[in-house]
Amino acid sequence: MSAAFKAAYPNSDFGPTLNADAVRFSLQMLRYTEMFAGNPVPGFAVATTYDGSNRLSVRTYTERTAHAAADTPTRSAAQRFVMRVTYTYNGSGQLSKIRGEVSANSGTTFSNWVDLEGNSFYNFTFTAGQLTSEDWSAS
Amino acid sequence: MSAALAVIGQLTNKAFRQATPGTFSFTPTISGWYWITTMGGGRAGGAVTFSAAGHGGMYVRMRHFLTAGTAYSYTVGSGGVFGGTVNGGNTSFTGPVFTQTSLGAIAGTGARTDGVTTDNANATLSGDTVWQGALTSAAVGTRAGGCGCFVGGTHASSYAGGAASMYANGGNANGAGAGGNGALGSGGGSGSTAGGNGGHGFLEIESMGTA
Repeated sequence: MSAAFKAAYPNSDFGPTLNADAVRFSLQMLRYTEMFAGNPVPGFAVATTYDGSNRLSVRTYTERTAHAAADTPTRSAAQRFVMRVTYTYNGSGQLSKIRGEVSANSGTTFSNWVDLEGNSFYNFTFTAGQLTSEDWSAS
Repeated sequence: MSAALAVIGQLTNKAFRQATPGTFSFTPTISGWYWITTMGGGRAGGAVTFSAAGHGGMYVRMRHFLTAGTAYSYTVGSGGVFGGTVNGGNTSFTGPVFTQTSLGAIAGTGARTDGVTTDNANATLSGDTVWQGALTSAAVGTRAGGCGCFVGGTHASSYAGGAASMYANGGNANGAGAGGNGALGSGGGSGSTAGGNGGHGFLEIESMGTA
């Protein structure tokens, strides 16, 4: 699922219904953005696992309530949004990679949460032990 | 918070364990003395009667003076895999003065440099901080070698248990199924249907303080 926000305005080609859908879609993308950054999001519970060095390993955000109505265009009725954020560390024990995956069917299946270029990994680059750059990547 | 986490990790990265086999580099952010602990991989058990199970890996703990910003290479050895590479891999750290190596367990001599090949030999201390890997045997009815507070795996019928490591018991033998797996450098037990895998080695780094 692309993280690109949808901007739409009612006009002759793009009516109020599509516009409302775009707003819902963008709202969910905003929620995912907050989750990817590690922040709490109203309506979502978080489960966290740790690796052998007690570092963050996986944080899973799960929508607390399965709404009866579908959330067009992203989620069917009675399903929950889930985001899984995976943290990877380099040989110096530093956080080097974050990956986002999302599910619109209560965690049954996940797909990459990608940017406009299709990248789902956010990488941290260290030079001589110092964090010097951050960027999206396909791996 | 993502970037904040990365920065916090950079600033507070004083100690960690690398338990994933492979080759990595460690770049300290502070110059000073570091304790490096290395554990070699354990050997896998076999699936032939009276065959030896897996020996345990070697434990080594030594000091290195590391310089901030310099990348130091290290390798974490895999545990032996039944049906694959059965020997444990070496775990090593390339320090500025010397390379510290914990032997992975191999057939016969295990993970020892002292020449001891006695059946079910317990791990023994050499020098200040080196523990020669415990050994197993094909002898029936005896327990494989132990190490520190951990014990070797038990023998079962004609199958031998794996030797212990400094951090884990050896895998138990199984006369009616697969041998138990080792963990954290211990050896896998042998079994009638399959041998247990050896435990992976690992490396730990801890800062002792600034220069």
